[in-house]
Amino acid sequence: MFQIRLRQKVKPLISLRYADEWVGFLVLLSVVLFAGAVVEAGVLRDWLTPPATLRVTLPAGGVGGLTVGGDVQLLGAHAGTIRSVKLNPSGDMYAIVDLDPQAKPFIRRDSTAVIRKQFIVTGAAYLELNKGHGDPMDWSYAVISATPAPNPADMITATLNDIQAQIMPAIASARHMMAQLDATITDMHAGKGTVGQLMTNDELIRQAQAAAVSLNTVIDRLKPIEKQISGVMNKTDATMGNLRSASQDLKGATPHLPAIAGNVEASTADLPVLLAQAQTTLYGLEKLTDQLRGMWLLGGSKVQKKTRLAPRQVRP
Amino acid sequence: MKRLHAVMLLGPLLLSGCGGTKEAPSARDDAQWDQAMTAGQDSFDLGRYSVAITQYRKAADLALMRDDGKAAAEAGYNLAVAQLAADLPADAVRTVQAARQAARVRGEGMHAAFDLVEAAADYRLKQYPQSVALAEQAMGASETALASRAAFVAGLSASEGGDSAALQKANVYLQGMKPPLSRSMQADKAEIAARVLLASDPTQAAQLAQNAADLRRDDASYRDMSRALALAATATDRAGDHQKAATLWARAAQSAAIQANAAGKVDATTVAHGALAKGGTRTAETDAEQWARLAGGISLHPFETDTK
Repeated sequence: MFQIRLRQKVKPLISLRYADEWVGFLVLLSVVLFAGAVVEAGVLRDWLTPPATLRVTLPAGGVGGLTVGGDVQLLGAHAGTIRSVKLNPSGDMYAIVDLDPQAKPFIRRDSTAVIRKQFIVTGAAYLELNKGHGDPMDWSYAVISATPAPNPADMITATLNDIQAQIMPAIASARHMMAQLDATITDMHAGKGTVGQLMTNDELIRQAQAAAVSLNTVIDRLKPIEKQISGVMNKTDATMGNLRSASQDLKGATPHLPAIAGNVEASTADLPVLLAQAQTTLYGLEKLTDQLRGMWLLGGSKVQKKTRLAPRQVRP
Repeated sequence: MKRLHAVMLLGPLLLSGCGGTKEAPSARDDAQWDQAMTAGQDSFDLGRYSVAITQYRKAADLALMRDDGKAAAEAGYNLAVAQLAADLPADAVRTVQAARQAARVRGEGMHAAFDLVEAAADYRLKQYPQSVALAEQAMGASETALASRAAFVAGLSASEGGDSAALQKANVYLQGMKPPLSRSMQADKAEIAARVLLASDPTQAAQLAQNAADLRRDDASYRDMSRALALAATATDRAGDHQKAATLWARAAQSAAIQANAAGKVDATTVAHGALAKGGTRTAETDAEQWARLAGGISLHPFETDTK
């Protein structure tokens, strides 16, 4: 190229010295900037970090519409995809999930998975993982079990069945009651039973009227007694008043009772001793009297005291 | 001179110190027993028979405690006499039997005294043949007062039971007693003599019975007095003086009624106990009722007010 330019001998309109070098420099600069942006955005880190593998044991009732490439969500956010759905030799199904490494800390041993539909009853099925709180997961062989989300349609059907089971017997009872009522009213109209007789027979009404008249007579007779009772009640009232005043007096006297009882107790405590002393003193006095009587100096003589009662005291 | 005065002053004291001999030990040395017996005797003398019974029972228990047969026999005898005085003859018989047993097992005997009390109790229970038999046993006692009282009880039971031979025997014993006789003995003698003469000479019998009643009154033995008055009434009635007989019955009835009433007031416990055992026994109350009936309806308690 340098040779061509030298040969043409034509002076170019715009002379750029070292243009090629400058272009090369810009290209290199762009590449460096791109590499820096890539490093800064973490794309490389994402590429370099391998995804976590989680085995999800599927329910025995089926996969619930899960497909390979299906979405896996954690707390409502995308957290991975279903890589494959497999069947093990024992007949259980399980799905292998490529999990975003960022979601790994949230998945614990007690985490569970629920198979949901995108629009509750329709739409694509996805796997929703629950945040766990137990021990950390052993990521060399991470397994959790999945349950299907309850189907609202099934629930509505079960509820309707319950309502039907409750209401139908009630309707049957109501029908039976209405039949009984119908039969009763029919019998009453026919004059059967007490109420029926009351409706159809005037005799009972007449007897009731007669009883009411007798009752009036009895009440008239009771009126004088009522006056007497009133007098008795007045007297009773007065008596109760007296009793109340007496009990008030007694209440007034009650505070003195412990003191009185204390005095009596103190006095009576000495009584046995006093009695014993009195008895001893009297006995001694009697002995002394006997001795004095027997002293010849005082004109007496020794009298032998007999312990046995005289025969003349034996009184037939 | 001074020495003579001193001898005159101290002489009597020295002499009094020399007098008397040491008494043999007895149950009297036990103050408790002695006190119970003394209290029993005092209560008996005052007519407080329930108190006397309590005290004598206590003395009998104390005698058993000291294993003293003589003391037990004496306390048992006194208890039986007190029960008899309290109109409890059935209790008295039981007590005599218990006292006999207690004395026997301890080698003591007071058979005549027990026989006398049991004879008197049997008389009250109207078991006259048994009473006569026991009293005749007691008549053999060496103690004159006891033997004469036994003769009296034998005569009384024989008279009530219609045993003229026993009555004569008792009368012979009593008439044969040598003076001096106590007032009680004289009264016993007169009453039995009156009973012997009741059929043959009622006038003389009435006189003797009146005499006996007077002696009993002087002796303050009112139960015996009222019975003598009733005997005098019976004799007077047989002699033909019905009015005087009624008067004597009335006097006897009033005395017996007051005795029963006094027992009721003074000694409610005795009456309460006695009321249980009075069926078929002679008590002051039953005697009063019987004699009042014979007197022809008199007021037994003329000085009492009608406030009852």
